[in-house]
Amino acid sequence: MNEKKDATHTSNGTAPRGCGRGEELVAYLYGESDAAESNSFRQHLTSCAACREELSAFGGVRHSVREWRTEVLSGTPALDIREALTTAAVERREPERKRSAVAALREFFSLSPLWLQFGTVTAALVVCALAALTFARTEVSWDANGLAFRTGVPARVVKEQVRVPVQTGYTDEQVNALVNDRVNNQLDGIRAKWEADNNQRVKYLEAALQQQKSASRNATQIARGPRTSMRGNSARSQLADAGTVDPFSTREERGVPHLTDLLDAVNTPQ
Amino acid sequence: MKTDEQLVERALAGDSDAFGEVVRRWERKIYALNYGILGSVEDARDAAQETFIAAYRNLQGFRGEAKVSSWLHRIAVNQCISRQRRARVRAETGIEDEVKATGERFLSTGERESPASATEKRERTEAVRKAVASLPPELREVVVMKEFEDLTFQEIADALQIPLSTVKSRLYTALKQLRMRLERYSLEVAPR
Repeated sequence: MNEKKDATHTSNGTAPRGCGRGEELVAYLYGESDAAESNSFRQHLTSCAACREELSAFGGVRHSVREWRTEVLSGTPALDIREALTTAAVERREPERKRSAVAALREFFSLSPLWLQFGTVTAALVVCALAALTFARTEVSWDANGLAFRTGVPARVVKEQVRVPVQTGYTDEQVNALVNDRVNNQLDGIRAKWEADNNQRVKYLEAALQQQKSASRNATQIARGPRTSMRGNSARSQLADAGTVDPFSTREERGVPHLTDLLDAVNTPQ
Repeated sequence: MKTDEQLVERALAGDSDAFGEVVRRWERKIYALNYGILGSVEDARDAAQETFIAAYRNLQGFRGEAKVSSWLHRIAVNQCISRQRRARVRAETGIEDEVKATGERFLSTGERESPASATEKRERTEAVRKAVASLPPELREVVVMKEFEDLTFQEIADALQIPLSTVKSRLYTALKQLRMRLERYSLEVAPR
């Protein structure tokens, strides 16, 4: 016993630290290192007091464990394995029955840790409580007075909603009709204005033609009459006198001076 | 003498005695592995039964790529892990921790030494049991598989499906932690 004690503890009762070659030490201790590794580690031992001490201490540990092992093996009880195997052999020949879901659930529950069992039970209780509250038509409220329960709450009647057509805007057909109306109105206006202008020009041309005809008749009566252009001018002037505006008249005929004429008038000394 | 793999082949062909032979060869080791991980006689026995039953039911799933021993150890470790998970749930729900009680019951039987020596040995093995039981599961598995089953690093890596270097580093960490716990125990009993 004393020898073993010496082998398994140091003078100060604390295990010294190894030198980082633990795996080699273990392989050497159990005789599982090859020749080269053994020689190398043996050489290391000559210079490493920590490994020498640890190797010796581990030997003591092994001795103690072996002692315990001998005691265990000497007291091996009857195992009845052959009998158990006979039963197993019979079961093996029979088709395996499927476990019921309840049995599997029970086994799972029994093997579950305590927190999981507690959580499952709590969840089940919460679900049951909610179902009971729903069934009893209970209204739960939380205000300044605390938590309040009121049972027998009448079921809320939900009014049937009247569907009101929502004006979401014009349809494509409506938009097209509006655009067509607007375009047609504008076209009508343009057309009416164009026709009015055109009628005015036609009337003027007809009047001018009448004047020209009457002038030519006069010319046959007068041997020496004014030039055609003059006759034209006189006809136009007569039309102008009559208050009719010639749409084909030039700037001079309308009495609008040119800019160059104005400049000449300014530059000409009085 | 047939190998484990040959016995499994015969069992697959319908020879029920062949699998019985596999059980006979491995039951004590699998039980010890389970006890090392679970720390309870009853749990270890039940886990051993379940390990072989599961192996028998899944014979079709055994492929010759791995050794039968690695396959059985992997099943055993998985059984222990699922048992520990269930025990943890029971403990969380307030059911009595059976591990300690059954472990103590187991250690109080089969003593044939002098009272003083028996008491000292029982205390020591109890300290080891507690130290191993206090290890994190991933460290406990590798220690038990190594010390109880004498599996190689590679076999442990195959059974646990972890890299070889992880097995070594976990074993190193486990031994360090066991050492610290046993040192503490030694210091506690030293003044007596």
